[in-house]
Amino acid sequence: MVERSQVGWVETLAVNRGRGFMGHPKLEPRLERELEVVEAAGQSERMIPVLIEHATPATVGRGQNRRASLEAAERRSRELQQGIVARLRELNGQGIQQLGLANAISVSLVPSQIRSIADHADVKIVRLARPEQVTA
Amino acid sequence: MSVEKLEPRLRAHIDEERRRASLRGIEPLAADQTPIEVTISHPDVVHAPEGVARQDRLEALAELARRIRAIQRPILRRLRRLTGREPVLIHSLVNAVTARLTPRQLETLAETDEVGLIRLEKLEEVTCMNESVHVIELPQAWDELDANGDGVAVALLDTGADKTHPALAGKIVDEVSTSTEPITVPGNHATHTAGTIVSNDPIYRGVAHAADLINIKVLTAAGFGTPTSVILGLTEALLRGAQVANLSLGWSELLGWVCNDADCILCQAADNAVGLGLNLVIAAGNESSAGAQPPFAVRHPGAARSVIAVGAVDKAKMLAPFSSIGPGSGRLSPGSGHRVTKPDVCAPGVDVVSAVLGGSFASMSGTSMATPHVAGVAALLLQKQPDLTPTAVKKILEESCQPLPYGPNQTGFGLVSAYGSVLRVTDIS
Repeated sequence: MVERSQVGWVETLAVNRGRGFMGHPKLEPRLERELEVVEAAGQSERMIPVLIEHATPATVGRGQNRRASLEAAERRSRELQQGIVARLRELNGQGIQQLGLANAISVSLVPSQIRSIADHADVKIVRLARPEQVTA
Repeated sequence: MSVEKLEPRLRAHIDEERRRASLRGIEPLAADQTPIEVTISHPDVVHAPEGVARQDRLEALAELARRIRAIQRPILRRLRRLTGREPVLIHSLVNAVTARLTPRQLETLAETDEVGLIRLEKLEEVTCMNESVHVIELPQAWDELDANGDGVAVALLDTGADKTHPALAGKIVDEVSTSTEPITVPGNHATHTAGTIVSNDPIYRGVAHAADLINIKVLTAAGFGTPTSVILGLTEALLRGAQVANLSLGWSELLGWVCNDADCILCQAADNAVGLGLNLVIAAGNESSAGAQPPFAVRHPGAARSVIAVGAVDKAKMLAPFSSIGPGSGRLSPGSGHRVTKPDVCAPGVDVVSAVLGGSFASMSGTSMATPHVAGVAALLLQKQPDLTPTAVKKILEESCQPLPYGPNQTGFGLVSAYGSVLRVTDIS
């Protein structure tokens, strides 16, 4: 079932993609372009760093001890991430790193694995995680 | 039309002067009466002879000057006719003249064949820290309200500040790197933003010069980073007890970042960090363009609802042409087409002089430079009232702003006032 918030995401992705609903609805457009370039170059085994956002956002308790709240958020995120992480292990994803402050997982995968993990029901969006110059 | 003979920077300067005149309610033509110093290059390049012996150099230079003067006679006559004055300088090493002309006169001159290119000759206007502090009404807060950030821990998530810089001596109390480079590799960008917050240099004094700095390197010295390195940096700031965090960085939707409702992981992590009591002050971005539809110009996580997103103005309190215009990507309510107003506030971000690598000071521009001014003021508030929540700090900063003649999605609540905001939390009885 597609919830309203997910419809919003699909709309946003479509706008950013600038070419309708052609691509995978859970791949960030620039990641999709990267996959196309890599595959067109015959480099289908090339590892690409990605960031996988879980469909459920991380939330922290307010007004508590900061460290305890962080640890609790991390525990909740890890529980929620179990399904995705198990699938990433099956896919032999490299450098799996679970985040807690935001419900996300950082990992390197080959293009076919990226498409595969994007199909997982718990995944909201898969982003390209190559370092970028972001100073403002 | 020969408008292309005006250097783009000069054209922008003229347009900006006319715009400012118009904003101030002055007849735009009045702006055209103000002379601008320019250097006018002749289309013919004059070359000095090659291989001149050292003892013949003066004579060769004189000969070059004579040749140039002969070519320049028509333009010198024209300049005198146009302006009624002698030029400021007739160059002898290059075929050019420096003169002061009004925009109208420049546009007339650009129509002639005697002109190759006209360049803006004015000294770069810099907003030294000792000037930008006045723009945000800081000296009164320092002097009258004894506000200096003492006892407040400010985290700087950036390229890594140079702790050997004399202006930062003793200021960095804790440090860690979440980037691919070790903490021992400092960056210019972080050194500059750190200086704006905590510099103890007597001239270029930081906004909260008595505060402690937690140096969290989330980007390489060249400014490269990943969302993961920033999120881990936020976690470090929380664990190390920071009360304020400065993020002069962000991912731009105009460069492919996707965020539907200020709910991307960067916004999520930022809102969570604020929920845990960290005051997040974040650059709005340098993308300027605005629109009611995505992609929005305000970067992420600056677009997060609970953070303080900072736009940039110059020392004349005019909006910087690069400062990202809102709204942010956050919807006013679920499913709404209306978006949250961003940036939240503004601060000086044009040609700000602060610390840089090598122990010196230099000018940099960007919302990156505006952001630490606001982070510093947040530290002043927390010095006075350590128990203020991030929501309260944001509200005080916004409600104390100096009004600016722009829309909410251009400059938010306006220009931050250190004195106005600190006064609100100071017991002056």
